[in-house]
Amino acid sequence: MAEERERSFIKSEDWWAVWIGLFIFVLSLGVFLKLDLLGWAVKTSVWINLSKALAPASATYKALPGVVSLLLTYVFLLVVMSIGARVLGASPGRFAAGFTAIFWLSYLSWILGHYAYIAATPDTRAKFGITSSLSLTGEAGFIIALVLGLIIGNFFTGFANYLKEAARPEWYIKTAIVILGASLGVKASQALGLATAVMFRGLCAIIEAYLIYWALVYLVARKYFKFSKEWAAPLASGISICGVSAAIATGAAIRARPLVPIMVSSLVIIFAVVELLILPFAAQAFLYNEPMVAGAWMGLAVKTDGAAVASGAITDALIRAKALAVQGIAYKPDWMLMAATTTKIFIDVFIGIWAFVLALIWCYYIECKPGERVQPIEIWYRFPKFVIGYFLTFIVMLAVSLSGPAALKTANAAIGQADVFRTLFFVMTFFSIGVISNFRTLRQEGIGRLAVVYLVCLFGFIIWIGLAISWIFFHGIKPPLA
Amino acid sequence: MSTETRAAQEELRSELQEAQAEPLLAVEKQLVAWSIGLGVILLGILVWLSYRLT
Repeated sequence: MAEERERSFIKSEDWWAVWIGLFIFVLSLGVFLKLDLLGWAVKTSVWINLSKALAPASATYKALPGVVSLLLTYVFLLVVMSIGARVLGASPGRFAAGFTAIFWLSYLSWILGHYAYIAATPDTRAKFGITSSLSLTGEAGFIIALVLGLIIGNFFTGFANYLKEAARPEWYIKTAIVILGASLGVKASQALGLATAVMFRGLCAIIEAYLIYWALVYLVARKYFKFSKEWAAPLASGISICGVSAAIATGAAIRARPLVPIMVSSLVIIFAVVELLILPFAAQAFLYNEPMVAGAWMGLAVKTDGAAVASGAITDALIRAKALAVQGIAYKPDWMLMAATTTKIFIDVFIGIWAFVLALIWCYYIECKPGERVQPIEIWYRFPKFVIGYFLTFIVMLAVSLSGPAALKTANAAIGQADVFRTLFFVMTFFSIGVISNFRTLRQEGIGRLAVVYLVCLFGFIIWIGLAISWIFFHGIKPPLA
Repeated sequence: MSTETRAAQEELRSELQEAQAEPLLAVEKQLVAWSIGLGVILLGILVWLSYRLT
């Protein structure tokens, strides 16, 4: 049943990320026909005076009060996401209630993160009449959302259960990634050589990561922690490749019992949160001279789509702030995010191929259930469909932006509006990751051995091999200057 | 969570705690060796390609 759902154009979360992402993207293209279809959405600015924090994204709607803009944005997203959730089988009432709480708590975090004493970088402090700030940029709101989610998820479990129907970080981040493709397509048009380098080097890094990571983790799990093949294979995929999706795909490929990859997945989520809280700050401290290394490192080291892209966004903001403060260098935003997203997406793309390879090896060389056959169509079934949406929006906006300066200007206006929604999906991702991450999982009996091998592999060599591979392929490459 | 799922999870947890080690099969050792070996060899080739082509 679950597999049939994943294969459906209508009943899979991946496909709904594509539909909703493309819907928002297409609406943003209205500016090319002089139709401002999304300009009413709320844009948040760094503030010292709260009344100036909110405004419509487009000057066309400047008469609209910021609070009304925010309410319209909420209603729009509630309707769109509720339609998707209903088709995905969620309870409409529970989803709407949960989504409402998630939206408003996420947005509260976002607006708090934009408070000037938290967000303002040194070059903007004078504008707000302040002499000191944490210089975290508005993206501090992501961390606030994550921490708030973690508090709810771990200390208010009743409320967390209430939110569960709508706490879907993978759905939110995949939708955000589809919209992100458009933004990165426009940026790529302005530095085509760099964008090509990021794509190609990201692909190289992934090939290395798959071949080296998976084998090492599998060996450690089998030989030193004495796990059976059934446990070691999903564990290796979950730790080394892409967390939840890879563990489940591998479990299916080798015909493991369904609960095996699910138990692995629960650990993946916990550890991804720990990485999200530590690695971007470590990257800011030690890699601000190598920003693209930092971005790729997030994509290689952080093991769920939500947490990896989220880490990329935080790293992008933190390193830009530090480079400006320490070196006086102002990098254009989102290039480190591009490196993180590109490496993560290529990891996702190869899951299907890797699962197919494992299925072949298991079936023909290790153990084959009677009547079992391995079919190449499994590669398509495992292919992450949201990547199709990402590449579609990327290619469309790349082509449009390359067609001339006027088109580029309009394209920038379009992505400015779509990015309002991309940002909101990001914030809700951070918050939802926190809500679903219950650290009490680690205390469950039997999960201890899984957690130890996860800890040893992830912090023992995955993170460092990922850093080494990122360094090899990305050092010396810098984002364009603003 | 259903009673069946809870029971299945308990069974898996006990299995994790009590499982005896299975020795690595020859094909598993080959899988690991080939994978790491190919990764190391390709590293040199891909690094050269990435700096040459981009």
